[in-house]
Amino acid sequence: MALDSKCPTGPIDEQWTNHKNNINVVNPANKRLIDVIVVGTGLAGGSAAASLAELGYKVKSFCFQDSPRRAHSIAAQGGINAAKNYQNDGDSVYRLFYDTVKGGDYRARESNVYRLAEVSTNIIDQCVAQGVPFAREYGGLLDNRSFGGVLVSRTFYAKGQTGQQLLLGAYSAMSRQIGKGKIEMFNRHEMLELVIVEGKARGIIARNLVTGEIERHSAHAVVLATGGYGNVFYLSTNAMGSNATASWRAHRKGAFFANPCYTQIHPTCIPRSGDYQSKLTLMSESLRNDGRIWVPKSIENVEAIRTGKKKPTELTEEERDYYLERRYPSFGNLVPRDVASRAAKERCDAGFGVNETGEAVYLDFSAAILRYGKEVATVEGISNPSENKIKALGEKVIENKYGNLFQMYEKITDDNPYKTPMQIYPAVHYTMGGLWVDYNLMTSIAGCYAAGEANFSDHGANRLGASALMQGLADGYFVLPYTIGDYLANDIRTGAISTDSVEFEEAENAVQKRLEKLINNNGSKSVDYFHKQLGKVMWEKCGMARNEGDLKSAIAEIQQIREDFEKNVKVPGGMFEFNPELEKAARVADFIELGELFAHDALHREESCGGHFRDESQTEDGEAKRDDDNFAFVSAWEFGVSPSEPKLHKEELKFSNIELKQRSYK
Amino acid sequence: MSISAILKSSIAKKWLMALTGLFLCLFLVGHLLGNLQLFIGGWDGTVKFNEYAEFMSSNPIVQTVAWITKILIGVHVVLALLLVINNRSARSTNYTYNRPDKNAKFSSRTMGWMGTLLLVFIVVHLINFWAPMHYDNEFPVQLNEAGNYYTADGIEQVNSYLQKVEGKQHVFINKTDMGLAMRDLAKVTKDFFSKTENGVTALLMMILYAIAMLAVAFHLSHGFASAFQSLGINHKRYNGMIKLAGMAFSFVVPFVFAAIPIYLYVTQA
Amino acid sequence: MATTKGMNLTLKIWRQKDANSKGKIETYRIKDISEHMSFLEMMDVLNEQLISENKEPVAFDHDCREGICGSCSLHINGEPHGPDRGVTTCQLHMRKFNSGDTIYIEPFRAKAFPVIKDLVVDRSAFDRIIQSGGFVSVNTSGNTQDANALPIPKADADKAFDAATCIGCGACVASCKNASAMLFVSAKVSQLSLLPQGQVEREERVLNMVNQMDDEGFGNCTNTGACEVECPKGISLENIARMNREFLKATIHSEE
Repeated sequence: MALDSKCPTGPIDEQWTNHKNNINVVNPANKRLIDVIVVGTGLAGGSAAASLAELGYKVKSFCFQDSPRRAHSIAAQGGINAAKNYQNDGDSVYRLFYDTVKGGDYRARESNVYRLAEVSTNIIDQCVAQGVPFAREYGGLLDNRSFGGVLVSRTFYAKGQTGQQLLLGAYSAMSRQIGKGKIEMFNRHEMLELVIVEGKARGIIARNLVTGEIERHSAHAVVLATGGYGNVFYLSTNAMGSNATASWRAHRKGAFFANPCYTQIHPTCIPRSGDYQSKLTLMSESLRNDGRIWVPKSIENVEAIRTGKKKPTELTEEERDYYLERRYPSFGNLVPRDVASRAAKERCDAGFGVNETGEAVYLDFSAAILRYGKEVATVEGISNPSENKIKALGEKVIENKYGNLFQMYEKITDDNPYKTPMQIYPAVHYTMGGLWVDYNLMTSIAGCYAAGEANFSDHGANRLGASALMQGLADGYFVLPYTIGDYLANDIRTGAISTDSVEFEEAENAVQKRLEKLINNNGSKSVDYFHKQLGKVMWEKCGMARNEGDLKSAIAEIQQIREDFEKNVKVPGGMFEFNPELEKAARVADFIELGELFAHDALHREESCGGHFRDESQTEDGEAKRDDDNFAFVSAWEFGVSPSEPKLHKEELKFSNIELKQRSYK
Repeated sequence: MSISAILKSSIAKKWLMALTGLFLCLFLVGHLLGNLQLFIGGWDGTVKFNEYAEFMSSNPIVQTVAWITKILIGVHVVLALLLVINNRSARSTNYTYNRPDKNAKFSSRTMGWMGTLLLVFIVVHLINFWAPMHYDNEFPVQLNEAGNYYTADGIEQVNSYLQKVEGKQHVFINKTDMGLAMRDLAKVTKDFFSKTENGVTALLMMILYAIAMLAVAFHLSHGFASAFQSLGINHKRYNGMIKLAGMAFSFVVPFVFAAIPIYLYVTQA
Repeated sequence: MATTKGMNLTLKIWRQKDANSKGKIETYRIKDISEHMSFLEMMDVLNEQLISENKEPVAFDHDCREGICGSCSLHINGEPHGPDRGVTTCQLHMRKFNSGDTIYIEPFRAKAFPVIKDLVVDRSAFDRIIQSGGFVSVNTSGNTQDANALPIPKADADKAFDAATCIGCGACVASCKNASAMLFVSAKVSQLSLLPQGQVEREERVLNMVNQMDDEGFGNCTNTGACEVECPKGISLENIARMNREFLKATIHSEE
């Protein structure tokens, strides 16, 4: 099957407008006759469901959580980008487009990214109209802050809870349509299969998680907005329930999976504290504005700290290695996420990790506290302030800026970050890869769409901060509602799709069999056991740095885990009841298969780009080296006869508006 | 909004609770001011208190207010009952282990219980004083040393009448016969809490009244400020003031009320 | 972060097969719990233990495990989200307990939150309240007015934000002796009544939402303040007062 991205031609700034003018539209009366299933209720799914229902489509919305408001978009902290240029600092649609393509290390589609930048401004207008309480200045206008990797202030935010506020906006828009009966909401329902009738996506098989009943739901089109697959690593900043099952089921039915190896590992997360750890917590990137990252220079001091003989505060400046400032003098502690993460890993691998597990570095605010303290003392005219006075004043400034984050850190670790440096370590945060989609966001299955983090998206090989929220809402509010009409215009006379067809029956039976097998397996090991095993392999061999040897052994190990899982997994309880272990088992089974594809993709891509770092492809001083001659393409994988034999399709990436350059932060 | 809709609404019920509650606070103040006259000793005190009692039970405006008060107590109680029934049904299964003391004050959690105690007290209190005064035909009238009794209009001779009822320790009169005779509520009240007159019963009554006032204190210490919150009056600048006023009110009013029976018991040796 | 000597705990957990079954408290013993574990990680350990003993694991709601999704909903030792303040159950850590402790774990209790299984309750009543009016009726459009065409005083925006941080976990209902949802409903009513965008539907909204709240079977507000104490996001009682005002105004204006 040939990959047709359906990208419009012509000048890039006219493409989206022209495209909208030329695609088919369904008239309002006919929209009432058309069903659309939207799976997932995060920023992309929630906004899509609401917008489609407003347009008049009959929408069925699904989420596995108990309420659409709990989708994991809610956890996004920092903000959302938009090319509003409210700060008059020279921002523009083009600049946002350029930053995003460059930030993604030139592995994203120009047309899509330009459209994203274009509609970004509408998002802010829309959200404000909905009552999203963005941060404001004293004059009553919207405030902005700046984020990593860009030179302007274009990030809109609501304290450290931007994702929450945006999601609640989409949720309220959805709720309005649910109240009107335009959206039929199925909470605590999980999609377990995509149903394809005559080559078109015509419905899903979902399990009612409360009763265990397996249900058939039909529609003229299916939108998957089911998020990323970061939990393939077991430990990530994703929610416990975040899973890849919907995407993976679509993939197994013919949707291509693009760039699975592009994973974002966020440098500032709270380190693991033990084997029981179930999830990692992010500390906002904004902390790197004032925190300095270091490890001790000597192994002796590392040992002393680990055994508790020395405290980090006792080390003199000369005994500390501010390795980011040392390696990247111009960007220092503010290098992009992938660079900062790899540098932390490099130090810890060399034995300088400062906690028991050897996987933590310090993020130290003492210098900032002293600096701010002195500033305040000067402003307030305090002459000869004592050291304690300066510290107290400085701590207050830091508290105003990051109070909630410091409190969260203290709750989790029981350490006071005002007095002792924070410990941080990189953690899996976002997956740039996902279902391959064309310009209309349609996957390679007709009538099956993917939106938000679930698609391979606009972020290339690395996502800039505050861009995920932008993309999710752009897809849901402003792209899908238009592009889906182009496809549905052919379905106005189709009539309701019957769920009695043989295709639905087969799909339901397949799901039933899969679940029965899990329930009746009578193995000896819990689902979490396998998930942890998989996570360990993924983290160690497909993590921040990858090489051929590791990836090959990862593939073999994952295959083994899959076999072991099939034989030995133990799922208590029954099928027709509320059974969280069964839910997990079905998800982990899909993660294991996805993990293998991940490794295949990483193995195939012999260059380093963005979040994907191959040891074999680096510059002399250890920086990532892209290979545009051989790898300027999207890897779109087709499911083969087994999870171990994926078939590669390539979509060449052409850059006609941006010149390809090697990134440097020295 | 229709009346039935208002009565159905949880918030509307809460305003009515708040409004009636605040009105009853005003009533308490009036009642207390009148009662303070019991601290005035001797003949003057007796006359003043009885004149006050006479005024309160004959003045048409006061009577109207008294009826309103009774109705509002009724409304307050009925609404409370409705709310409690509703609240109980809102949690069909209780916690096996619950620590409400960790997040809410005792007074706020016991509004219903304290209110019930108060209702019982009010009934007892009415039986003790109000009902005999109005319906006991042999309620004493106020006499001076010369055997004169007092009417609201002045002093009259009753010697002849007194002779008809000889043989009783106290002098009672038939209210209807006596027309405007001024009832001696002061004497009844003082005797009620008098060791020498009533011995152990007086002690028990004094304690009962003091306990009832403790219930008033708890009920008010939450109810006063809570009423403002229910009415939507919550403002950073004034919250402290409202709270302070509530605490002061809930301390001073019941304390003074309670001081009266204690004073009477202790002083009337 | 050293894994100091583990704690041994006795857990008294509400077990209930499904909505229609009768539940009861069961006792479990668990050993070697690290003080650095979160409460839910302790529950994970218990479940692994139960699975290995061929017993059914305890069902409980949880998702983000960073205190923002509002899924987790355990009533721990007599308080929703346990003894710590300003945290959800997932952020509660075992260092708040001592070895040898007995810990009671129950579902959030309210008639409007029926138990689905064990510690999992159905909180869709909250969703229905939002559906009754917790929104601004504006369709998606690329042509809404420019975001900065509507200046909002910072103080109002900040207050609206503080109210909007509600995560809909239901701890307010769980802690309230009357199982009242006033804090939850008032947070949404406040957010939108403080912002100019919410003015158009201001009166209709509060009437509809309060009406729905009453229909769902939540109790009434006694202003005990328990909800504010237990709220993991520190939503203020000020919001309840504001809703009372809004409701009064709307009722007086209402022509029905």
